[in-house]
Amino acid sequence: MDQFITMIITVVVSLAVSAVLFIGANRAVDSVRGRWPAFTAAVGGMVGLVAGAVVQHNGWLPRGPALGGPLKEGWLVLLAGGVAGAGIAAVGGWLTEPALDRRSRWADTLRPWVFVGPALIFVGGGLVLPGLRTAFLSLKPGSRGREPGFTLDHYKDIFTDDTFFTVEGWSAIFTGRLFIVGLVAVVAAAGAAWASSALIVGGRAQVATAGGMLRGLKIAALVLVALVMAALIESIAREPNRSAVMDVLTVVVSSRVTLGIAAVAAVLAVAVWLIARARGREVEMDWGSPASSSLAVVASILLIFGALSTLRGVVWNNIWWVVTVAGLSTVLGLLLAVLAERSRGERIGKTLIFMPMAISMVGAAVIWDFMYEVQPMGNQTGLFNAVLQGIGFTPRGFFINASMIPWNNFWIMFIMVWIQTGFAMVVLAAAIRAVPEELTEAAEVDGASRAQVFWRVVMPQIRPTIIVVVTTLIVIVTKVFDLVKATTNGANRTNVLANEMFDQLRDRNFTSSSAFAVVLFALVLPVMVYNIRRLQRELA
Amino acid sequence: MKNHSRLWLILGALLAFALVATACGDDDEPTVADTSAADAAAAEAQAEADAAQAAAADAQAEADSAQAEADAAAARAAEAEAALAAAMAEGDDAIDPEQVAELEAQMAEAMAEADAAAARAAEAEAAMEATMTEMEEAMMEMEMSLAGSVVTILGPETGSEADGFVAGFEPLRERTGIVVRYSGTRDATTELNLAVEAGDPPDIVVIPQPGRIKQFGDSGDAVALPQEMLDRIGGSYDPFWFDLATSGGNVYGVPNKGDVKSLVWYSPQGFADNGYEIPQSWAELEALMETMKGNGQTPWCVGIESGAATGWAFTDWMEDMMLRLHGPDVYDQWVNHDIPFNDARVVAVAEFVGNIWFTEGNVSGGRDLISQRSFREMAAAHLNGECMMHRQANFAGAHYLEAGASSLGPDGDVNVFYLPTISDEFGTVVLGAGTHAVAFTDKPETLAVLEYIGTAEYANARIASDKGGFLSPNRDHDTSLYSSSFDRGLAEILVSANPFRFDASDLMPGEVGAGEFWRSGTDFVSGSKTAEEFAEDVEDAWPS
Amino acid sequence: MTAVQTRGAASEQGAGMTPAQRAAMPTGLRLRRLAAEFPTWVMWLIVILWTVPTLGLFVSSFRKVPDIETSGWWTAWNDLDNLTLQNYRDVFRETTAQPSMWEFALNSVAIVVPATIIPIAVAAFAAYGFAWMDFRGRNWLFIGLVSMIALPNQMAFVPLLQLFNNGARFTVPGLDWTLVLLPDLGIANTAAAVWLTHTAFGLPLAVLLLHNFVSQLPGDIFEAARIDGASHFTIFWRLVVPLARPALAAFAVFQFLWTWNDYLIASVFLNENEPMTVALVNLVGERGQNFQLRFASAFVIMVVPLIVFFSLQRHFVRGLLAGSVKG
Repeated sequence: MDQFITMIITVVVSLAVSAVLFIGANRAVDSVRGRWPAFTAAVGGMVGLVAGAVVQHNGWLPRGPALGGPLKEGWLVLLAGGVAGAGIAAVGGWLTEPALDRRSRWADTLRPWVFVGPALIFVGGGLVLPGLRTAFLSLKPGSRGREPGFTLDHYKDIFTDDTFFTVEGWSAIFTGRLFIVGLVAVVAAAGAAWASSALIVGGRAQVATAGGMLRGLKIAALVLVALVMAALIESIAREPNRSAVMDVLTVVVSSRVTLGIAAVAAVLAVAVWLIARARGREVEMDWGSPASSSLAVVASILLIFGALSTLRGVVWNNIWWVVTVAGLSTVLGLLLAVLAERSRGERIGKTLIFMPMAISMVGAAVIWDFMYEVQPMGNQTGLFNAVLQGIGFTPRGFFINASMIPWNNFWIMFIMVWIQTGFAMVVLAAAIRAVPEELTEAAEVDGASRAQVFWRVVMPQIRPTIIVVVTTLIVIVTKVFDLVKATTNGANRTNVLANEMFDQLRDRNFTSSSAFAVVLFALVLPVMVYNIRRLQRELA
Repeated sequence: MKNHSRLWLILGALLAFALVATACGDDDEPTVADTSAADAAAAEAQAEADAAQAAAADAQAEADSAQAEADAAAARAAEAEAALAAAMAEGDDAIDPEQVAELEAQMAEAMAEADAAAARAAEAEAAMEATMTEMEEAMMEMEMSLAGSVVTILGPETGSEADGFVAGFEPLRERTGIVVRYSGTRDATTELNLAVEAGDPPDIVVIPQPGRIKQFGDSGDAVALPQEMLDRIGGSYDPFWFDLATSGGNVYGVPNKGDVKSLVWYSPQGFADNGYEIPQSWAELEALMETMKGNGQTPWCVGIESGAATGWAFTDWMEDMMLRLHGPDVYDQWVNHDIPFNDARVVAVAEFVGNIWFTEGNVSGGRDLISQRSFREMAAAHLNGECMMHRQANFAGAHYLEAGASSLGPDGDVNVFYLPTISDEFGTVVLGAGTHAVAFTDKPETLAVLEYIGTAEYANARIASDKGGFLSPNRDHDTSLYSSSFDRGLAEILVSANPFRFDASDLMPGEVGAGEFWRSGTDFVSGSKTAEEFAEDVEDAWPS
Repeated sequence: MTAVQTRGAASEQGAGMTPAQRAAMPTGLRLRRLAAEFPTWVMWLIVILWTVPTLGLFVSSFRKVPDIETSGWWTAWNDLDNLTLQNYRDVFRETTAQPSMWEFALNSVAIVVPATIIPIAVAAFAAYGFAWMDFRGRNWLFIGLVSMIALPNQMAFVPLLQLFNNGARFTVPGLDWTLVLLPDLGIANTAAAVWLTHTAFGLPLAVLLLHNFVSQLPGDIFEAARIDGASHFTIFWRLVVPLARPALAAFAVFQFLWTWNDYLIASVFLNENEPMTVALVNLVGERGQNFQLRFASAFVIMVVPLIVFFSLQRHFVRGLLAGSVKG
């Protein structure tokens, strides 16, 4: 019980001290304009206290026997310093009081720092300085950064090691199944966009100008063609012993490539056709329609998965993590937020979805380790494998089965999606609730369907919130290492940068650990820059 | 304007500074004084103890020489007696009474001399004993002067093993009042690294990887054991245990606990029912595996999943096979990186293990499941009848008991046999592992606790508490205290094994032994790397 | 009024009908009713999928080890007699190495409450300062502060540990003269060290989120208040804090969850008086002995966050980040 009382006292005292500090600082700023000598006295007193503390701490004063124990003496020195400082400064302030307008200018300059100062001190001391130290360490030779000189070796190690970063085999992206399906989805999305544009022209709903879209489509088509050409050339170049004709023939005959070419051709054809149609009729494509935007989301997920599941290396894997978890959690969270709005049992449902947030990362790893558990044919203890076995498949190890690569990554990511969907849902549901009713009502009066209201009225309204959610998720996901550590510890191509960074800490390689941290920071930075620029635009 | 805002910034910083400075004051001084006094007292007591020890050594020497003298005198007396007897026997008729008298006198003299020498020896011994008690008293005094001091220990032991560890210090606390504060944690290594780097390590750290102990010794962070301490506790251990933690001539670790790894768990009942004999050689083991498969049974249960340490069970198999295929010498070269990790012999060992594991029907669930089944669950799988044998260290006993085994040992549900050797030329090699306690501060109380960990008293107290599994590598501990004859047998193996080899992955640098060896090993087992690729990748990860 | 309410009414109407009444409805109407129920079905499907793992954990926390290892948790209902409370009893049992879990729960509270309140207070000041006050370098400072979100926290461990252990010292180069910039605060290994660390790590996100909210509050109120002679402090205290309460509550919940569930920071910065997360992990042995306690522990530690979420849920619904929606 003692502990409990101590705890309450500590908490109360520390909160009270903070409150007094903050209010006191505000009062002090008030007195710049009102009572100048009081202000100078306060500042002087503080300076005096500091001086006293420094003197006392560094032992620059001979210890007089008259003052009694060292503790008392310490406080006396502080006190004396404070009183003396306050007195001198008060007299000084009284003698040289500046004009009122200058003082109020000073007060205005000072006040913001009272508000933002505490945050700056915390972040400066707790993050900025350590961050600078990290950057510095990452450039030092040796493992603990105690040797003289600088080196870029740690970065070189990361980017020249094939397990961390390689673009080898990149060309397989464009002939992969996922990528091709993704292209088809792009075509479908474009088709849907065109189809719904025809519907909209007479209606009142707003349509974005399509000029930029068309230009983008053209550029994308060109880039695609270039990439597929390069992929073909690369795969031909890999086997230099054959005759060129045979090569081309083999490549063309291999089904995947043919499929890829067909898909690309289809995309081009549709794009050209759409462009022509749009020009001729002056119809604007509507990418904001429900069908086309959801198709576009699916398409981009497929394309990104296609690309990132093909590329090897920890850095790519990390990017895949970020995209998957941030993307899926947000999409699922939004879906749930929308569904919950229209469902019965909304509160209970939301709480149950949110529940994983209340589970620690360690707990989540325990739960899912258990879900994915595998036993030989027979009595399964893991639910997933029990279901698999029940419908006639052989049970498999989801994380560490070589035949699962690279999808074992996905099963680990899914744990994170499971945790973070609740976060996205709660925030987005709140944002949807906050959309002004006049807007939705007006749209409904105009005869817009429920889907149209959502996509054309609600979505634009909650866009900023979506961006905040995505950003938060990206930041959280980039730093994830516990899940990977607890499930596979990076075996079978499941490693991520944060786990590697932690391993380096464990192995006492502080410098290369720092280099990993800097790379992680650099990975997240573009997202942060985007966010901040958006914020600034909004502030302007 | 510009200048003013800077001014305010500076003032703001000063303000914060002042408050912090005011708030903390300087109240740590009295405690500093206190500890210094305690330190001085302790140092004094230590000096006294050392002096007493020196005196005891002197007395011992004296006693020895006196004893030697007495022996010599006695020998001379015996000689004289023999001469007398011979003379008496030589001639009944030609007895020279003079000669007899002389011999008799000689004998008497020698006897007296021997008595005197013996008395002197006894005296010296008594003196020695007195100095010894004095020394013990001085030691006691030193320890008593440490009463109330706190020693912090960081270690990997958690759960019931942490209970056992803490229970081991109870006699020390009762005798000396030193308080041991133990903090067990999953990731003691990282925490230790951070604390050392920040300049505030715990007093003592229990480290299961001798490789890391050497690293800390070389970097000057760990405190070398004082020679006197080694003199006192060294005799209780096979020198091997100290060699593991020796770097640059300094010993840094006190052996804390040991594990025996070359064990195969089997069900005595199951073997009896099928008429299986315990294999005495590798050929017999292979024949047994074939028989089992012929009877429709699966020989092995293997699982290497262990969360963040997934893969270590594979490294254990490799180590055992390395010892059996290529012997302790090559094993040492492998550990010390005298041969590269991708040496053909290492690859061959990996393939040898792979051959056992990946052959259809050898392992329950087949190759695909090995890397995702937990090593812990294999005990339950074994009890369930999935397989007939499970190669795992002694700590698997706890898993068996949890999974429902009633008892261990020849009459219990499961028992162990020694994983047979492949060729006789290397002897009965035993693979084991263990932890050492390493000091990171040189306070007298730290060293007192460290030394205590090295005594049989600690081992006995820990065994007697019967909390968590524990085998002591200390030769002098009382094996009768183990709660089961099974543990006693294992402890005897641990203390007497020869040749004994320490777990290679724990001896290799952390990047390998707790990193790539596990990770790439798992890749090899699950099939995403060949044995060569695995060995190649581990070699690449070896820090230069 | 809104479509939501009308729809709710419609579905309630449907729910209130007897099966006979429902059967008597024309097919078209029934289909439409079914379609109106569609979101409910989908949501509950996802909810069930999302809850199953936790349910499995919950069931397993009452099972004995041999059962857990040999049969799926969904078979537990076959043999309800085999369920036991022993795991929970074991979690709360006092051992030689660890005091009772209640003490660790207190430690957790002692760590989490200030580690939630301090960052929120500091972030609220800063959010107001950055949003509604004009000063030189405002944008750059804000960018700098917020971009610190991206810094991996682990890298700050060593410097912070050094600070807490030894204070900050600066040796003047060439002079061999060491200045004590910050004396040894004596807070190494105390809850205060963990508060400060959580505050520093949580602040950038807190400032970003709260700034988003505060900057969208109607400025004309503040203008009016200023004309009436209110100081910034008064405006902050009397207007901003009440208006931003939903956002503050929402962030409080998240910060609470993060600090409550934190294992890493607590285990690095504390060697004694650790929070529950650390103690619960330590219940399981080095070689996975007593692993079944993990299930019960995961539940024990979930209870408090769920209570907090339930009690603050109202505030979310009233509009977390409502300000970030332009209206």
